[in-house]
Amino acid sequence: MLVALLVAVPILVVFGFVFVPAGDIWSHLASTVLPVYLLNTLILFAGVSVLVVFIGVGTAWLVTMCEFPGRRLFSWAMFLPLAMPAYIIAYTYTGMFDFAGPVQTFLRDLFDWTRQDYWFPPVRSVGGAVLMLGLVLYPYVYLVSRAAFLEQSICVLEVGRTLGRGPWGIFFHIALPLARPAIVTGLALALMETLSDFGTVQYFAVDTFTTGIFRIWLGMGEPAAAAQLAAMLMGFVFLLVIVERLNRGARKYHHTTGRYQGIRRFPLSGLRAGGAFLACLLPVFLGFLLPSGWLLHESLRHPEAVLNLEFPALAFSSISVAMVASLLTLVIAMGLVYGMRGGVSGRKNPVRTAAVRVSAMGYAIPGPVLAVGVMIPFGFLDNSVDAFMRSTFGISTGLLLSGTLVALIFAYMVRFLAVALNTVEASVGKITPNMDRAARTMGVTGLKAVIRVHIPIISGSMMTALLLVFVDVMKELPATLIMRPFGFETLAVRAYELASDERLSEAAGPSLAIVAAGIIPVIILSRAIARSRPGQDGGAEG
Amino acid sequence: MSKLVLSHIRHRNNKNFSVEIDRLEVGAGRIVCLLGPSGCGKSTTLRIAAGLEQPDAGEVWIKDEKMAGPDIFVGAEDRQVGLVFQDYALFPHLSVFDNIAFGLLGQSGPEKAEVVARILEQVGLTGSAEKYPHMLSGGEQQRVALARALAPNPRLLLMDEPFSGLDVVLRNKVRDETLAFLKETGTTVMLVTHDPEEAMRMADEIVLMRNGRVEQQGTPAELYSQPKNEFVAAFLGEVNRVEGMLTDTTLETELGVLDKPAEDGRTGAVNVLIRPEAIRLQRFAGERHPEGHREGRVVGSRNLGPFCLIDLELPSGRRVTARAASILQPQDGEVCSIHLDQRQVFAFD
Repeated sequence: MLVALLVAVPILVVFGFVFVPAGDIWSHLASTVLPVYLLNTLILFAGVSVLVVFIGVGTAWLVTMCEFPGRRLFSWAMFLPLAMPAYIIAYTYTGMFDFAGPVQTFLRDLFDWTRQDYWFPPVRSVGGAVLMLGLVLYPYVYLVSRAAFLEQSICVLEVGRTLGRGPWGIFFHIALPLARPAIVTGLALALMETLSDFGTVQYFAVDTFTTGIFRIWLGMGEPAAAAQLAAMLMGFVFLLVIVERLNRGARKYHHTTGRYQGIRRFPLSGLRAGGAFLACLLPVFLGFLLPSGWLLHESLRHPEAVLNLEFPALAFSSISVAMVASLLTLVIAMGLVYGMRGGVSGRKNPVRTAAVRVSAMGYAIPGPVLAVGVMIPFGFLDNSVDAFMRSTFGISTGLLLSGTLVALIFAYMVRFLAVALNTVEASVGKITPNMDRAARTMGVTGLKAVIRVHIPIISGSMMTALLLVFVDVMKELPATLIMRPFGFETLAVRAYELASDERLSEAAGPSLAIVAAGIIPVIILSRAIARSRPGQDGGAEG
Repeated sequence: MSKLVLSHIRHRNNKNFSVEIDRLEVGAGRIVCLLGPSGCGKSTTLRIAAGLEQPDAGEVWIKDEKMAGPDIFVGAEDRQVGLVFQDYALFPHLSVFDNIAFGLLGQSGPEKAEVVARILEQVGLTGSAEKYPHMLSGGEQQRVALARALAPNPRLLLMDEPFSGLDVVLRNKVRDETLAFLKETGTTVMLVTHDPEEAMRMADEIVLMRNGRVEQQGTPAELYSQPKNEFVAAFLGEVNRVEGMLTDTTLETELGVLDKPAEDGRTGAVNVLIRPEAIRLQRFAGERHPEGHREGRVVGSRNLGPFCLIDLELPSGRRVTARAASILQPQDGEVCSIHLDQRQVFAFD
């Protein structure tokens, strides 16, 4: 309970600030940058939404319901771009397609063009940001809509066929409407990530709410206004979810059947199979293969940039911070889950449950916003301690926690607690009260029960939670950027800095390491999904 | 005239299990039940008829139009068949009205409204048009599924275990109502079930399947009293299995000697299947019975309401089960004489 509240502090601080008057900064903002922020953010939202839904739902349907060469491979390969942080893909594409990049240089050489002779779509633009974010975020929508399509009773689709609808009719009139809640969930996740994204838009010099938060807080020293901007941002996403809920009305989307049959896929051949293949290949290629290939190429081209003394040090600091943060997060998540359960085997307590829910909201709060939320109470604490020490002992302690690794790791914990919590909770949920009761009748209770009964059951999920948080921390950029102690660098920070300085090929090494780490959860995820879905690849007899 | 004809169907699905049907016909307005244990291929047969599955070989005809053959395959969406699943597979995101109107393609709004209103009245659900499936009871959902399948006026109605989702009490009621409705509308039906009682209750004709093949096809009475083999006899009702010996004129078993039908030319050892109701018991009143009579000792009996099941131990130690009206339930340990009813005794090689 206490722990939950502690973790919830930054979140509450952010929301608390919404009600703090921020003075005339608003009128200033409204007259200057706000319209631009608003416009860019809206364009980004709209563009990313269209792109992720189109790619995510389309490929999920192809992979789930159609049979074509490479389908099995794609069913998990579609996840790969998830391993690619948006800021990395952003400067990778810049490196490849900007004026000085190989593609344009090649075109110029080929046709003897000069700068004025041709038009090339600018990478560093709102459109470019939409494309970058869309390419790495579509797996969220893919993930949930594939799950939704797999869960759909095949009977419902077959009834649709006997009622005279072809494959397209079934898709648009049955499968798509049924998958809608799932798609909206995936879209909300993708949009949250869009909000959190700082690296891409900053690098592309596209002014959005997120970069605005940075500037207002760090540049203008107005945390309240920054928090208010952040809250507005979150409002967008919640609005989307609420509108969808209202639109459902009395409809329900849970399946009216509990019967699973093997999915009879539509066999595609010839041109259609080729089309499906390309449709799946393109996002994977653009979102993962091409950029990681380029990173690899660049790293190999400049091995000295990768193998200098700096790299092992960076990797060490990234990995050690990520390890500490993920271990602590796991411990806290376990504590919260058992706290919610009311000890090892007790009743649920609604107050505790609510506290845990609030503490898990950190995941929905963009990194920079969270940084604001963590820094403010830590600063307050430090100042209080300092003041107290000075008045009692005459010693100035200075800033004890702010700007230290403690603050940074705490921020990671707040941000990624939900990841660990959901994973552990789902697994602990499988331990039924009757199992505890059975253990009790055999004299195994309390901690003994946890060790002998619970841990063996949930150890796999604990491992998964640990890894997921580990990788998320490795990838995290904006909060690290704001909160890191002076001189402390991680792979993500270094990659970002090098890229910002246009030293793109030197940034390739650290980026590649992050991407490689990012593949781990992708594999875990796709394996877990393959295991847990009924009727995925079975036969057809019912 | 037959509405549905399957001929020389050969189909292997991905479970390495094949369906072979030489000929299966469903006459207009008749209800044919595909009956068999799970995994016997009855659902696959239904799916072939629906056009959800393309047979490897053979032909499917619906109302004198070829639907599947070596050179043609008409998919489910163009066959004009209705389909009702075990779990109804109602569209949860559509109201009852929209569920039923789903298959009414190419009709105007008022036309749809008229059709839906009419069929809702027929199935007794007027007033539920705006509800969503989750607001309906199991029986009502079943009726919506039926209405949805019948609304486009299909040439054939296919039902896959349509009543097994209902609890026992509701099942009989819904089944009788559905049967009356189907007969009233003259609908041609092919229905899949694993429940022999359901098949006998519903069907004009039963097709009993096992391992992808048709074991026997006929009226419920034919299958029950003239089973072609042990499987059919045992599937349609309980049986006692004993050894028997066929002579030129008689069938000898431990429970008695029966006259052999004149047309039966077999002799030698046979397996004999005796239905419990074929074992008639008579209490000993002390007097001697005629030569050749058999007797058994009651070792237990259970009263099941209208009738009782009696476990008998024969002198050889073999146990058999007999069925009798409840008022005739004997005491444990009583010794009864046995009389066999020839009509429910089947001898197989």
